[in-house]
Amino acid sequence: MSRPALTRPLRSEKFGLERTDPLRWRLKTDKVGRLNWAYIRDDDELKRHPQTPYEKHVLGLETGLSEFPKAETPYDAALNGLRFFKELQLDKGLWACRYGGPMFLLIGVIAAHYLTKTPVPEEWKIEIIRYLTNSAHPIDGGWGLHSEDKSTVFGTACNYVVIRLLGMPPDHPVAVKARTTLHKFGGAVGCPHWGKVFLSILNLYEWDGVNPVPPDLWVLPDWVPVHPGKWWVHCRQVYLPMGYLYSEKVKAPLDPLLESLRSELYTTPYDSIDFSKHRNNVSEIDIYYPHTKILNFVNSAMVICEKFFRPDWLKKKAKDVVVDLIRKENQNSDFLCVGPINNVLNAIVVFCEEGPDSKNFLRHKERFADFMYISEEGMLMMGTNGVQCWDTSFALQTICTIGAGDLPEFRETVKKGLEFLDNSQFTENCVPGSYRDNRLGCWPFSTKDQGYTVSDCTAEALKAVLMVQKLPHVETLISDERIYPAIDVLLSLQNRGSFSPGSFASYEKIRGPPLLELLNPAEVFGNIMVEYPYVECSDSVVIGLSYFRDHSSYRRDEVVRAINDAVAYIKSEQDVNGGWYGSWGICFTYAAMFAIEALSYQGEVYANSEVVRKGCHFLAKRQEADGGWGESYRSCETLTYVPHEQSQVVNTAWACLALMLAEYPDVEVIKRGIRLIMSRQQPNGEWKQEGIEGVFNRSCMIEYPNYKFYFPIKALGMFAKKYSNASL
Amino acid sequence: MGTKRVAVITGANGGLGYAIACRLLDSIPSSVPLTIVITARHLRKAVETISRLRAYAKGRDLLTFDYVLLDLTSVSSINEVSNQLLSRYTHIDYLFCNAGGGDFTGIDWPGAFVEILSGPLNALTHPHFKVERCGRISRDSLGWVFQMNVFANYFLMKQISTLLSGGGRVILISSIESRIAHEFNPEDIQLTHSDQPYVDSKKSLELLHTAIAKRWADELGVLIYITHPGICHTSIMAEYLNFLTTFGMLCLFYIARWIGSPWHVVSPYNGALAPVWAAVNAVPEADPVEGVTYASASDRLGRCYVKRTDDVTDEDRKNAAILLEELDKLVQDSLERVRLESS
Repeated sequence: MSRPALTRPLRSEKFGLERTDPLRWRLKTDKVGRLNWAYIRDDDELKRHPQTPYEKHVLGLETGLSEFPKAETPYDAALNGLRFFKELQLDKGLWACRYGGPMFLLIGVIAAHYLTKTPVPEEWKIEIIRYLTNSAHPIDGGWGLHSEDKSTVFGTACNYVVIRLLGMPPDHPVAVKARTTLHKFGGAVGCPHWGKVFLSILNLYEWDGVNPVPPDLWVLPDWVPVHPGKWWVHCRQVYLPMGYLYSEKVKAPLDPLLESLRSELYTTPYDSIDFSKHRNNVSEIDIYYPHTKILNFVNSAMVICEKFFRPDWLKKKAKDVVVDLIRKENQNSDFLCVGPINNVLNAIVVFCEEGPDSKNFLRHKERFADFMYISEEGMLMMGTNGVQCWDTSFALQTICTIGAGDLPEFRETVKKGLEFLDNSQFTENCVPGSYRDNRLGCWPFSTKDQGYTVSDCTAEALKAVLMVQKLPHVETLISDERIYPAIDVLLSLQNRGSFSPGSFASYEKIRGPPLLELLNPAEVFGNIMVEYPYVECSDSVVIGLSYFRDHSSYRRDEVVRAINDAVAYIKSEQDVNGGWYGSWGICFTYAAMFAIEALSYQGEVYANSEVVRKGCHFLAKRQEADGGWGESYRSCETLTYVPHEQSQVVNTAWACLALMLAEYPDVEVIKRGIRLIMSRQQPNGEWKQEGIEGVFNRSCMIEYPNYKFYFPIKALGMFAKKYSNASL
Repeated sequence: MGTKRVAVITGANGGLGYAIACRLLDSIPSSVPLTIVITARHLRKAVETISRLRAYAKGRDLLTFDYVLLDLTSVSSINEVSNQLLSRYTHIDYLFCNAGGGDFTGIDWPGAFVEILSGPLNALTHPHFKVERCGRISRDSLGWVFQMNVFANYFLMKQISTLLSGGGRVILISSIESRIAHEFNPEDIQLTHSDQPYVDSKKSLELLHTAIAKRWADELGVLIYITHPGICHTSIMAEYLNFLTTFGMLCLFYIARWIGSPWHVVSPYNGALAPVWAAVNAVPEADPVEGVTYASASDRLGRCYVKRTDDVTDEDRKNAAILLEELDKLVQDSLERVRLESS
């Protein structure tokens, strides 16, 4: 069952759980936006570094920011919002946020600590237990795939192990409740694949009950269609170290705590379980994408091959190839890796290969903290090492769009933001042989260190840079020559030929056939095996390239052709009733905003474009009685527009922006949305957190807390500029 | 009721539930905004069902889907689902209590042959050869079949009665097999001692209807119709039939129809006629809620119609009162259980 919103007092307080002193947390950052929360024990240091408004905001403390007289006009409201949001900017020019949501990450970092005998900092232990207590399902005490999900075996088994390894006794009411729910689901044998891998690493499950993750595939020639180099980057980078761990059967040495956990996780004694029979045992509650018959066949065949036909030289060769690629991934991402799962798995591999005191393992240890984020509810692990570039790009675009970039009070904000983007642009390519594309000149989703660009991140950063550098008082930091390589990469990322021509995927071009999805072994996610074309990514690239087209004549013909082809793809993706399915935000309102913005830059608006008209009607029909829009995360799961229980500020802003960009003739519709956004604004200019905003792989929700600031501000400001700034 | 109509269909992934959804889409003009909330036990089934229905509705514009995950054998699940519905909707127009099931173990094939040969029409209408297990208890310590088919529906209706009041309709789905039910046994209301709990639970569902239909109509303005789908090919026994036996069963169904059985409507879509008709088309003045069962029926040529039977006896009314007393007690117990669980 989906869960009700967080209530006060927090459950951790009701249980009287220990908490750290929120006044002692500080966020350390560097010029490329690394985010490290440090718990300061030294009183002098505390005094030297008073808490910033952002730190207070995240920790749920009183920010002490000034309150404004109630805004009468949309523009005043936009400026009040921006005045608040400006205060959240970090001194290195970026905006930070907690990127929580996925509930299957903590097990990874805790397992990595446990197996490598790396002590978990005391303040982490306390705050992680608090977070898991507060995010447990209020009735059954379990956890799901993501923070709004019903309880599942995956979430419950993994997080139960986490709280126990961090020191919660098995008879604590929080543990008892979670364990009861896990047993009701039949125990941890019904865990999906990734859960089984983590439990095996911790010696709480047996590797022969895990479906094969053959590292041997990496030895195949590159042209073979199933070669992992053709998979989606998140998929291949996770299965790379997993293949090593599976092949080497890595597991933590058994100790009394693990012995005890073995007896807690299952409904029957551990020694009586024949794990090999549970390879395909996945709880019905967890499944989003079931095994295909082909996958089951392939798995069985691989189990037999591994037992009887796998020569040692092949095993050795595969191991060498995999370890080499893992080192390259670490090198290309400065040990951050593409995501938190392969980050911790790579750390375990490096530990096994190079030992606890090796330079590389020590660097891994330093990087764990980049994913850990403190919040009012405790400490969580983030879906990446942050959203720094993505957020900063949109923040800057917003300021420029509403014409606030010239106002003296925001000049410093803009300048620092641009400096951050300047520092974040990639200045070198990946090492050869890492199955990576060129990235020179591009921008990341999170940080330059992490080293991964996404098509839309480069495009939105590009747009932000061009907008900001047009402001009269702003010095140009990023010359055109530095932008050209980004254009080169964007053009190279467009899909051509048989895979959705004209479209843009996420990190890379589509390299492998979508049929590979038949071998998707993850059970809980859809669409992970290869890259897929995405409407929003294509929209963003069209938007970025359109800005560039009006700015420079570099590769003009190719840029124009790329825009035209992408626009054709975007139009073809509209469904019959006018909606676009959003793959990275919730959901149809999100995609509509991007699609209509992209079309509007080609001069397509309501008056002259049937596609835009249909898009507008789709939105207008879904406006709620209070003037807002609200979309549930269930839209993403079901691929249909499912209304939220209440209108949401973020969805309302997206819908209003789409309608304004489309020049929708019935201004009253937009005005009602704008009025709703204004009515939810707090006296200090902020908006309170509402429902979760983002998604990946259709089934896993993820937080974008800054959306509730810059999109409403942009909608209010755009309304004032486009229509009227009369009092509403 | 507003212009937006909201229908909740429990078990919409199964044969009859899915057919009800399709039939509902065909019965409500596409100019009326419609929300179909389906319940399923698991997300994957909910997602599959919604995608099938979306394809069926072919771009119908004012159509919204939603799902809730419901396990009828858990009162806390029902309670949560109720809370979700209460938070998401201001009213519910149609609640189809379709989900349910039996603890079947298979088909008594020799018995089936003898029964079909000795009285084909009777055997195909009121079969005794579906073998049920006796005595299964749910996690909530209730008779498992009784909980799923009787109590769960009542508890759900009670919990969301504010959404239904003032014009909402509840469609209960019984079965023609209730006619071969054992006599109501006040000593075994939860049917844990019955050798055919599924069949008996359908009779109990009818008694529940008898007990509350008039009162809910008068006091809450909620019309509760009891219907049955006739005999059609649904998923309930599917796991005990293979391709050949399914084909054989369908042949026999058609033969029964040609011989003159009104009940062999064969397809789930036909079976959904009475439930959807009761929800959308029935007029309370002409089609009373109380004392009448509305069933899907078919003539020899397969033309379907709604057939009424009114055979509620005084004995039934007496038993209904006993059953209701027990159900109300169970509602109190369940609420207490839910309170304890969440504290």
